Amino acid sequence: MMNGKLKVGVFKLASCSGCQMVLVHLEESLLEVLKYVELKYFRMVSDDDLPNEPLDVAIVEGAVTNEEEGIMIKKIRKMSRFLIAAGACAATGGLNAIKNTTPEGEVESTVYSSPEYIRSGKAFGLNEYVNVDAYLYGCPIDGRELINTLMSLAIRVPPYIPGITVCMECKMNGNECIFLTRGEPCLGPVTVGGCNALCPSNGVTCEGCRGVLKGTNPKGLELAWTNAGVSPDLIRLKLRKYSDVYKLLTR
Amino acid sequence: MAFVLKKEELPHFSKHIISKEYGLFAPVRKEARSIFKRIDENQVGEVSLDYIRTIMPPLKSLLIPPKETLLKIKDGKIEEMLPGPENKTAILGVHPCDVNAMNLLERVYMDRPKDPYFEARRKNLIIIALNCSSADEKCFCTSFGTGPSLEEGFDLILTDLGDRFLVEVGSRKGSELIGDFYMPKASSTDLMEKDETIRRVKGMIRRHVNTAGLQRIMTGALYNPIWNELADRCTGCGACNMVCPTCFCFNVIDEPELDSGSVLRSRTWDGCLLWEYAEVALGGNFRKDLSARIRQFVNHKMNYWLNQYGALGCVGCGRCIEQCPAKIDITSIVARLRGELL
Repeated sequence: MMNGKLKVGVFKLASCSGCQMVLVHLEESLLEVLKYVELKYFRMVSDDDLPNEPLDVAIVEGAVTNEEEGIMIKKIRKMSRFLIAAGACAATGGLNAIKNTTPEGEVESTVYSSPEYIRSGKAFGLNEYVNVDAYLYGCPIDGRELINTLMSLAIRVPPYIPGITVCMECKMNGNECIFLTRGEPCLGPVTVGGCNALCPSNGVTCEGCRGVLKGTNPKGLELAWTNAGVSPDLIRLKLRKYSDVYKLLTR
Repeated sequence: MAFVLKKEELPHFSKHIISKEYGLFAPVRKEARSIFKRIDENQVGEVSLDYIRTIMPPLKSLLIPPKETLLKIKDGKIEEMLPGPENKTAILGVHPCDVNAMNLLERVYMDRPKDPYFEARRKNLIIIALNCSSADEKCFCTSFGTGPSLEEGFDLILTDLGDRFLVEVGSRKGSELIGDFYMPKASSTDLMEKDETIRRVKGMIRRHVNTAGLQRIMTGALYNPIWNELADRCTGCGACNMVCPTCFCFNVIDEPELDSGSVLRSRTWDGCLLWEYAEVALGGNFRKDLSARIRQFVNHKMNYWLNQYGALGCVGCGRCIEQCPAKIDITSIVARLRGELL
């Protein structure tokens, strides 16, 4: 059984803080989790500085987009026994990585009036820089999965990370297929499940925020979309949104 | 024994089933489709038996729920979460192909070794089947003798005769379920009309799989280039595994339960189209290529089942064809391998 509480740090790189918010929003469940977990560093809820001791688990949100963040993630890796990439940005670069397909200067001048202050390069997931021990997928992450992962680590068993697709969960929910009936491009067939097909079960297509499941075939999906008359522009935008698929197709 | 049930009496009959303390599952409309769901007394009017195919196979979903907790482990004590005999369930309006698929699942789960969870649910289940009164271009049950009518494996079976249902009794359980619910006896005209309906539906089924010598042909085609070709189109999504009424594989997972301080061991549906399915320790994988996984899916249904369980593993329900985003069609794969289709 466990040897005292898990020492956990929560970190943020280039991101919107939405995944940290999921942890805060666990509310009552968070109090239960805190019986097993000691939060050593969590800037969103406490001003305490990073303690000078090793961590059992680092939960890292956000993509790496510049040198400082690259140094930061290597430092976090060094001080942590188990590193969790939490959310689409940390797992694959996420929405940040949309810019990877456009020249940097062009992106910056589109978004900022004074781009000379920006110090940012291509956005990548954590695994471009360090070894990642577990991924929590989604934009934002799923609270239930976060709890399961922390609790599993607390009792020293490997966390269960689902290896099924969103499409499979959508079928289990008995939903009519949005792609087959409405012709709208849905990323469910190649996207990591675990969200219980949240979007398609509510009538909108999967955007692929949980990343591409190993062994699925995005090229086949692109072909199916093309055959169904989805426009090349829409296909490009759809595949680029959460970078992962696009990266696979253009590699 | 055979009876006649007027269509407007169906809600009363449904209520009668519920009054016998059965949890009733029946098809109801959901947008353009029908979906099986648990019906309470106030919803009996929603039951709609006018459907061809549901997205999910109803009997598989009932007998092997997509996620089912098997054990609860706390402080070193293990509790089996077996469904008790009080959980009596009745399913109304399930088509012959799906009943036959359940008969196939019984070969998997009720023998060598028996699965106590499946067995408990099966014992609690009463089946009121529904002969088909229509078919579409994806139906091919006649190739396997699994439809559009049913001779055994049901407790009661209905046939739609327009303004009324023919109700035939298939077991003592079925006869007891009718009990004091009054229905007039069926006449020979009613029975003839049923035969006429079945004949008409058989004529509607245009899709076929030629099963003659199929096993030899499939085994001979294990290295056919068709599998690589299909792997270019297949998305690897596993939807076929989910909607197939005979796909029976599951994964077993342990999850800590926060509030009770216990660990739950559950099984969840798994599928051979997934990478993880044939993955073993240290990252080895017996079916690294998608082509190998598609080949496994098709061959299991059309070849390996025969040696494994003494019957082919397809009932011709058409779900995998209908739900495939890449429009891959198991019947045309077989036809191509037989040289019947280019």
